Amino acid sequence: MIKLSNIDKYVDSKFQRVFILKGIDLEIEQGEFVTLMGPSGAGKSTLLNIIGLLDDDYVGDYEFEGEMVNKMKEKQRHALHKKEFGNIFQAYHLIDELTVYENIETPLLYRSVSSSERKSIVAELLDRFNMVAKKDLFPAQLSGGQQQLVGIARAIAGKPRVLLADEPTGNLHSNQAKQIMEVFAELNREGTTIIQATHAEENAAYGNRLLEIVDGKIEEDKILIK
Amino acid sequence: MWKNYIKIAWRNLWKNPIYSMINIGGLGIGIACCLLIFQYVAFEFSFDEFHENASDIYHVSWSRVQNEGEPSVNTATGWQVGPALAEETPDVRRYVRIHPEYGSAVVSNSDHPVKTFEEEKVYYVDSTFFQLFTFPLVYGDASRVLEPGTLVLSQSAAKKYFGEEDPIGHSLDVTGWFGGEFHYHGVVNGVFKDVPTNSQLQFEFLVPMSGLFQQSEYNDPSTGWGWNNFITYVQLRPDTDPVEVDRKFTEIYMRHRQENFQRSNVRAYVTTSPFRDVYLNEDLALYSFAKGSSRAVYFFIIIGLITLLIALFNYINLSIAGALGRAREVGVRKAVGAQKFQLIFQFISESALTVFISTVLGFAIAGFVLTTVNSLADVGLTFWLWKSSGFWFVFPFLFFVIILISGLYPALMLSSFRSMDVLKGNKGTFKGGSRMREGLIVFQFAISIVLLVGTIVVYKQVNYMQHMDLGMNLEQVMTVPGPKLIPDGVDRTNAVETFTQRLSSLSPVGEIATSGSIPGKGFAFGTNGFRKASADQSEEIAASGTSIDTSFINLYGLELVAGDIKNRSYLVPEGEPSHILINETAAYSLGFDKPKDALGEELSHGLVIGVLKDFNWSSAHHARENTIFYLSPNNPYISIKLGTENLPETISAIEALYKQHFPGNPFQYAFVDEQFDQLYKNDHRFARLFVVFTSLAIFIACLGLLGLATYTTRQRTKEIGVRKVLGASVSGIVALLSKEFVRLILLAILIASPIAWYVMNRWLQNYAYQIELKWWMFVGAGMAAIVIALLTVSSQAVKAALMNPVNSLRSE
Ligand SMILES: Nc1ncnc2c1ncn2[C@@H]1O[C@H](COP(=O)(O)OP(=O)(O)OP(=O)(O)O)[C@@H](O)[C@H]1O
Ligand SMILES: [Mg+2]
Repeated sequence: MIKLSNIDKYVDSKFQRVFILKGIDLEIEQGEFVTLMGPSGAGKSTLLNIIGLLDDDYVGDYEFEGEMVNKMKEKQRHALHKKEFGNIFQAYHLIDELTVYENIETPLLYRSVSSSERKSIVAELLDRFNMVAKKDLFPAQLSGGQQQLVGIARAIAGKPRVLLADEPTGNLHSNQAKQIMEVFAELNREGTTIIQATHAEENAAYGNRLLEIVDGKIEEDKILIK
Repeated sequence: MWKNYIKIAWRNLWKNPIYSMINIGGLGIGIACCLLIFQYVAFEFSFDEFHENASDIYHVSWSRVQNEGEPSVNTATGWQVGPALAEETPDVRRYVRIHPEYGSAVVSNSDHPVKTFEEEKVYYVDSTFFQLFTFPLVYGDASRVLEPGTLVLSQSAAKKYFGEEDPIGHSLDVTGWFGGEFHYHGVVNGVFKDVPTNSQLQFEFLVPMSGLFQQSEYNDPSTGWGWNNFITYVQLRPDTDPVEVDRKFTEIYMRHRQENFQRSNVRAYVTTSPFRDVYLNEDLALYSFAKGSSRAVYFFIIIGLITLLIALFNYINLSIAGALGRAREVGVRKAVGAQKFQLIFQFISESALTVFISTVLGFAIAGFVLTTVNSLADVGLTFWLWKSSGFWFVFPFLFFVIILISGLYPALMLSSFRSMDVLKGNKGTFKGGSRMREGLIVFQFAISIVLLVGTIVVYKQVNYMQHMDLGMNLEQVMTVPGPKLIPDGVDRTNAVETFTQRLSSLSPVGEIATSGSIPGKGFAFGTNGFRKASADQSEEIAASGTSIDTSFINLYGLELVAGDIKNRSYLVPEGEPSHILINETAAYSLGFDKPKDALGEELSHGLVIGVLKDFNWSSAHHARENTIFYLSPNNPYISIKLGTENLPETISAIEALYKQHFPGNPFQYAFVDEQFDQLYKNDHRFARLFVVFTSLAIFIACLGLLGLATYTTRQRTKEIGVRKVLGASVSGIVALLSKEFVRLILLAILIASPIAWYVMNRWLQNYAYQIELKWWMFVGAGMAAIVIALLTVSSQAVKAALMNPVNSLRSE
């Protein structure tokens, strides 16, 4: 599904070229649950941004379902992102001025989903995450774990095939983190491809593949057997 | 989608109510200013548009050029000009001559002499008046009014003289003064609706021209070209070429005056000006007509736009600052699938909402302060702008321009954030647009400083003019018009003489003098034929003057540099020149090396028996003119020098005496210094409006500064906390936060000073007597701007500096 070949990302400073990612070759199949780990500053977020089409400033080839992403026009790339990807953030990044319901609804608005369909999708998600009673609250009125659940609901509202999560549990207590990971595992069982970056060993256990990133390179690529 | 945008916009407005209030309030004030100014401008442009023939009516003026020098413009013509033009070209459909009552007339109800008043708004007009102009009649037949022996008056004048009675068929007596007493008895056969305020013709009584022509001087056709007392209008046929008409008129004019002009080496040309444009044309000043100023109109258009611009910049500035706080929202929206144009659209529609609220607020403010503005500006504005179709054409356009200007930059800036950058880590903030913001602040303050300098200069100039040494003493001088109603068999000169003798025996009364005009009221006559008696006619120059009696010089404290007027007799033997006094300027203009040399010389207008040190008869707008005073015992105005004590008693004593000596004449008095001050009425008004707009501009600019200061200090709360923990003092932190703003204001001063210098220098050119621009005016304005800005900014800075650092650090 995703195929990266020889991806480099670097920044040019005055005296030298600093590589953030160097020679990344990576293939991810549909339905995988991949965890990126590694020391701080290793390049995990950078890699996620490239995979998630938020960053197009790199060299190398990126194939998505056989299409060359790095050769696409801005518009095509945007359409692809909208269709296939969902993002989850460490700091949840909900829109403070919108209610839980409205936050989940937002991606659907950008996908021209009809109003009745929107209603049923959002209602289903609220139900699934046990948030029905909280639908009219604002993000500031929720706990961190609840906010991240809304973040996930929002990310999957558009039914993406790939879910990208950068330290989704970084701001949460271990109990809340566990809950989130279980949701991920369930989504993965339903067929969603998940790529997450994390520092917590126990989170990796939910996935079926672990990539060790060190200094912009993939140091290790293990299959996890449950 | 729409609902989502509106919701977000609305919630954002309420999230920061103070910030939103500043934002909307500033723009609302700007829009209110603009509305009021455009209302005023529209009113000024609406003058004389209501005449059905408005586009075909032209005012006829003529210019005199002597020895191929500078032309002098005459807005009035002789009485024969109108008829000659109508007769000798086919282009003129009809003409109307208007002879205003120069000065005032006494009007009385013939049956009830108690109803007797002094009236200034009296016109003597041709019978075509109501065909040419559109002034609806309430009573009377348009084809019959203005027949000989009749008279028409306004609705309110009818009420004043006849009460609720039907005025038709009753009669009025009009007694005016044109170099001598003039009496007219007319039967009212028409009443017209009160003249609208946006008419340059302002009158209460119309007397048929035939009445005026009963005077003997109008039997002499030679007076018909040289005496320029008549304002002439022509209605041209609709398809006439104005250039061609001017050429034809000039030719006719020259033909009639040929002999006269050749002697003096004079040529003349006639200019027709569209009637509608005369009101705003400063070069065409007409006696007793309403006068506007295109300069003032354009000035206010500019001020209105500037105020709006400042308000818009304010808005942009605050939007940019506010936008930075929303970088995260933009990032999120992009991450969940928003496209750039969708974001631009969202932010533009948000600004549309704000602008809409501001506009509603602006209308409310404008309506609310209308009466205040009316009294400040001395205008009678009512809100009719939105009833006109043009407004609804221009306004939506303006509305969209405002939305685009104010919304586009923040929208573009916001939508260009990359979600990857703004969603990094925990915080999700982004810095940007600070150059633009600083630029806007500098611009706003530069304008404010220009306006501040302007205020200082305008006030100094007005003050200077008002306290300028006139070379005359106007204090405690009261004037009353001399009697106009004189019973048969009584000699007016003697009657006035007896009155003044009795008057001077009242103890607080000082000197008493009579004259043809008084300071501040203009001169009684003007001439283009002033020269030495021995000189050639081609050397004639322009001069103005009035008649005076022998006490006049002393009463007004005028100084004689040569000659004297004591024991001069008014009567000169038959065939000898009359006695005149001239000012120094006139002496120099006539070519005398020293003013003294003119003494005893015979001039075109009489024998010089005295030369007066220069004085200012009119306001400081005008340079000194060549002035002629000739001695006459019989004059319309009486001036009375009063002591300072028991003023009310003295006035009632004078009134009693006046009534006793001149029965039937209304007693009306005025103080000359107050009347002279009226000449500066427009300047005062201008100064007041200047202050209003300057304060508004500065207020709006300060709102912007306050918003920005609030924002930056909030952004730097953590930095301030850390600094305090490390030991920084409160004053140190305030200085740190204020420093940046002071730097911006200094830059604004640098930009504003040369602009202010240039603009105010140009403005001062309008005055014949002007103050000098001094460096302290610029420094003063700059200091004021800095102080105002510092007060605004430091309120926020102090608040931040006093905050407990533990709080600010924890909240991060
Ligand atoms: N815009 C940039 N310019 C220069 N260097 C950058 C930029 N963005 C990231 N880096 C560098 O790239 C490297 C990788 O950063 P990245 O955020 O991907 O690390 P990470 O593995 O996600 O670390 P963490 O676990 O702390 O989140 C870091 O050394 C960082 O300093
Ligand atoms: Mg990271």
